[in-house]
Amino acid sequence: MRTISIIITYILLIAWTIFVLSPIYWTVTTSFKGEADVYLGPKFFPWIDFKPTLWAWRKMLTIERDMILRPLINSVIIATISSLFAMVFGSMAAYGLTRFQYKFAFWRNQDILVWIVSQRMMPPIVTVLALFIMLKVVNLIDTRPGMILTYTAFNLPLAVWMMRNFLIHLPRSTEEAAMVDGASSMQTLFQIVIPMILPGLAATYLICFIFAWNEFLFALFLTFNKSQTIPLLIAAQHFQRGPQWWDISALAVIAITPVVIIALFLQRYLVKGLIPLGR
Amino acid sequence: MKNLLAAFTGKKVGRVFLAPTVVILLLLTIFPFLFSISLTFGRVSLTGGLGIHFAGIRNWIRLFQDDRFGNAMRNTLFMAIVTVTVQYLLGLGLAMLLNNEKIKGRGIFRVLFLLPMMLSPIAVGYMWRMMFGTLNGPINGILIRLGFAPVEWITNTRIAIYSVILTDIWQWTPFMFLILFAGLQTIPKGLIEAAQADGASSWQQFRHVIFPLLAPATVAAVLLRLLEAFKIIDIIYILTGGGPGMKTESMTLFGYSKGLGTFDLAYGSTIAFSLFITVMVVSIILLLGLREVQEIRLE
Amino acid sequence: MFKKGFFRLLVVAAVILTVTGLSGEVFAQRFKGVTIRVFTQTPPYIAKPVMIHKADWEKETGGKVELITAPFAELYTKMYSSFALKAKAYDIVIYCSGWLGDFASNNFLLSLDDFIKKDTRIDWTDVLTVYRERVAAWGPTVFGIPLDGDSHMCYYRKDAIENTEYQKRFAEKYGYSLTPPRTWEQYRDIAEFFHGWDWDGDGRIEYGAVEFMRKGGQSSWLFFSRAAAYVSIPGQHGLFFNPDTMDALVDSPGHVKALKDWIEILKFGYPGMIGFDSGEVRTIYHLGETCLGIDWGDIGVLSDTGPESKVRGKVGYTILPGATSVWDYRKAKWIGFPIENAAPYLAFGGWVGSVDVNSPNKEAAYDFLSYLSSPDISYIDVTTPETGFNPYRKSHFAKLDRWYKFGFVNPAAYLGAIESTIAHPNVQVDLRIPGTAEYMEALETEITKALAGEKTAEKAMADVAKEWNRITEKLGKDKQKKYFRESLGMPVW
Repeated sequence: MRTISIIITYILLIAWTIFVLSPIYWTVTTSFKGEADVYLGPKFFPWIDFKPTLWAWRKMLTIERDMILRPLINSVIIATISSLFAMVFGSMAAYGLTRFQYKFAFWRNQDILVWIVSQRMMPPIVTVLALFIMLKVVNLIDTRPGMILTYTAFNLPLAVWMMRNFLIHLPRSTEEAAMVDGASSMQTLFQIVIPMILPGLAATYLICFIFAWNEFLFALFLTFNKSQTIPLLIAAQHFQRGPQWWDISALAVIAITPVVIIALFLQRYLVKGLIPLGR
Repeated sequence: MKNLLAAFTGKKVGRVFLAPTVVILLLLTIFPFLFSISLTFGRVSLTGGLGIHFAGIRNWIRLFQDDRFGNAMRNTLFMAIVTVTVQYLLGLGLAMLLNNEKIKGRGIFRVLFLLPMMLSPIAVGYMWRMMFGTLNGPINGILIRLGFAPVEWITNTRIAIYSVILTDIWQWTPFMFLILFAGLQTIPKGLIEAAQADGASSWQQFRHVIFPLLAPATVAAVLLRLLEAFKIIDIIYILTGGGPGMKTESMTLFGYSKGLGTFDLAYGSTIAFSLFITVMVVSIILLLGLREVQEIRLE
Repeated sequence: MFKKGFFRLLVVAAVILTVTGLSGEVFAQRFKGVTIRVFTQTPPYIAKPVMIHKADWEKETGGKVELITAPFAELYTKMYSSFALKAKAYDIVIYCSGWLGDFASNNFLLSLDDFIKKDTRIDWTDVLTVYRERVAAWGPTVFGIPLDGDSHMCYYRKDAIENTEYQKRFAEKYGYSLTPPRTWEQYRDIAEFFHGWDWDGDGRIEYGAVEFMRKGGQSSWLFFSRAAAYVSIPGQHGLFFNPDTMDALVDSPGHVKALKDWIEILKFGYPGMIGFDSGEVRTIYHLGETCLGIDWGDIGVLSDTGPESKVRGKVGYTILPGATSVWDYRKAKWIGFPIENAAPYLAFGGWVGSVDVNSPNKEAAYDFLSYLSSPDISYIDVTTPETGFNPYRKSHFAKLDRWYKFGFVNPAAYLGAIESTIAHPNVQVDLRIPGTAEYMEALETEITKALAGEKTAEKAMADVAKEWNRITEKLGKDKQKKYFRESLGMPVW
């Protein structure tokens, strides 16, 4: 490629990076600002424009720590487990849909797949009230199992679609060869199949995790107190004095950290796992 | 052993694979779905426990006469189409740029680009609300320093919706980028090199080799993103609350404030349902249309 | 014989002491093992008093208090769903008294009359009459314990209005003397005069006024604060509905004028205030950015006691501006008032605490509420930063020592404005019938469009009236009329 093209490419990439990072930079610096520095005109650079203070952070980590700890733990548990379920069940369903021929009355594989994926079209607001009543009947309102169940259902269609696209391009020959060679079905599963689909599993898990971690509407209505998640906590920072920007910023930084860690860990799989979507 | 093999590929095992998914989905989405439909034809009374009474199509008539419905629907469609289109073009551009092996640090860029979509939309709403602050936001701060007048990003009736669109683009372009980038990896380099050898320009390479082969990724990305775009609520709720006036109210926000804000459950369900029908119709049109295009391309 | 009698006396005394001592123990731990769940707005405001006092109450009674909170916008929904679907998620709810009608008429709340009669601690008559009868009660029954008194007032910067140089320039420009605004016209003129220049010498440009206009940001109350003077002939109740027909009155020319005033004030308002909620308004005002502001008591509290306040001691207080021309809905014409008609508005009514009628811990719940409302405890709360509780008892206004300690430079002026509001002969109470939340949402929806320039003021208010009448029909016109008249203390035939 000619040098000019390369330079232009770098410029464009860096421009986009600036666009991506600016709000994040602003949020991080705001978490170190006092009230006046936030309201009385934009202050850009710590130590140059304004004096950074640990006020918001101290609040978050001491006085309000209990307020934060529970939603944080809830979010971690609920997102981790529900994504796990979604990934496992979704993969199983996808495996079934690509390896077996189903026939329920006139419903064949394609129809079942379409039905599963169409659940994604459902705006959550359609189902929220009915879910509330259902969960209340079995006493799962405001409980972690209730939320895990809900998010699993919420993410299943996505998981099925992603894994199905992955599995459909996976040659069956390897599996069949292994089985012919005398490997038991379990052996086949763990030693052959799973390593092959690991990227797909990782990608699916990460996407499901992100959606579950950031979900707001269901969490809003299916929890009262004990099972509140982080997005609710952030939304609740709206005090009688106006949005507490410094607290919100600190919280946002706390909220994004676990996701970033998991994403960094899984990100190499992300691209490989999504390749089949593009086929 | 042979029996095990037979069992493994038999029907029963097959059903076991599908069962958990189907059961969970049936439980948790079918009943609510039917319940919501029935609500749209009913009237809810809450004194002394939950009671649902039949009310015919009254809710639906009210919906079509409500000018808030048309407004929210227009906003939602407008925002969905614009955001998805721009996100697609940007995502494609970024994927192409980053696909060049000569660029150093591609891994770092890739990770950075993913950040926005990992944030909670609620947090993103607050972030951009700060950014867009009329007097104390950094964007206007820079504009003022450059000599321009401050822009009323989220309080001006004509501009507000574009600010929402901008925020959504910021958050979700990574999603498009990811899928399209993965798709680009699947295009055999050999094909591109062959085209180059034949003397095709970059644009021709793109148009005749890359883009057609990217079609499945395009379909997946656009469809997934479109489905989500129709449901937009979190960002709007925090950024503008639907205002100024009703200029940025989306269908989900409309349903939320009627159904759950004032507990007018039947009407809220009606609103939500109309959204669902719209999403379904648009998806079907899109899928049919894209399938046509795909078939043409494959020839 | 003396010894025997003495000995018997001793035994009796010992028995009595032991019994009372023991029962002291028993009474002191009378709620041992009971946990009550209190639900209210996200801290600090409103929740802070619960947080401050729960330890003492727990020690005294052996019970436990669990505090659950949610943002304001979700309070109504969460409470309603807990009551209606019998989720029993909360024993005590602390909420906006405007919703009391809704909850009480649906039989969600526990009647507190008997508890109050037996309560020696609460000093019920110390609570100002209007709060006792118009805010905590529904019809003849008390369903809520008042914890806070709410009304709107007008704030102004003394360093602006009392500045002789500015007074001269103002008189030249407008033809009358500069004083704290007595009418909405004056309010507008003052806002215009002080808009867009640095009149307090701090190097920053100041603006005329700051008010909250955001939908869902409590803007409906500010609207009625502005409308009250234009539509409330003393003795009539022209603010919400016609008490004889239950037709909505909100499309009257008086209401339209108030909305037009409000649209105009945007020109002299803090940039971006069309998207502000009440919290942002307070912060902006106490950082010294505007001359005028309308709010509950919070601007006053924040300005004198907030740690980052830039206007301490510079704020003046007055009752809401009035109007010299008032719309009489009965005669369908404007009536002139040579001395302006003032109609201070008890916006929001105040936060009250109620008990879920299905609560398994009614006694303990009432006891905690009564504790919070008791004169000494409540006095602490109304004079402590960040509680959000404003005075509502005679004793709150009488003792000034804690107000000074709180940080007020001139508590007498502040309290005087509040007292003048509450005791005003033409004071207007807030709407408290079932469906209040729905009426207000409809109002805010249309008003926000007019403010944004999407609709004319006339059309917006006409649409509000249409929607209000539809809601009234849906809920039952006769029922609503009965409830409305009851809430005003009018006879119901």
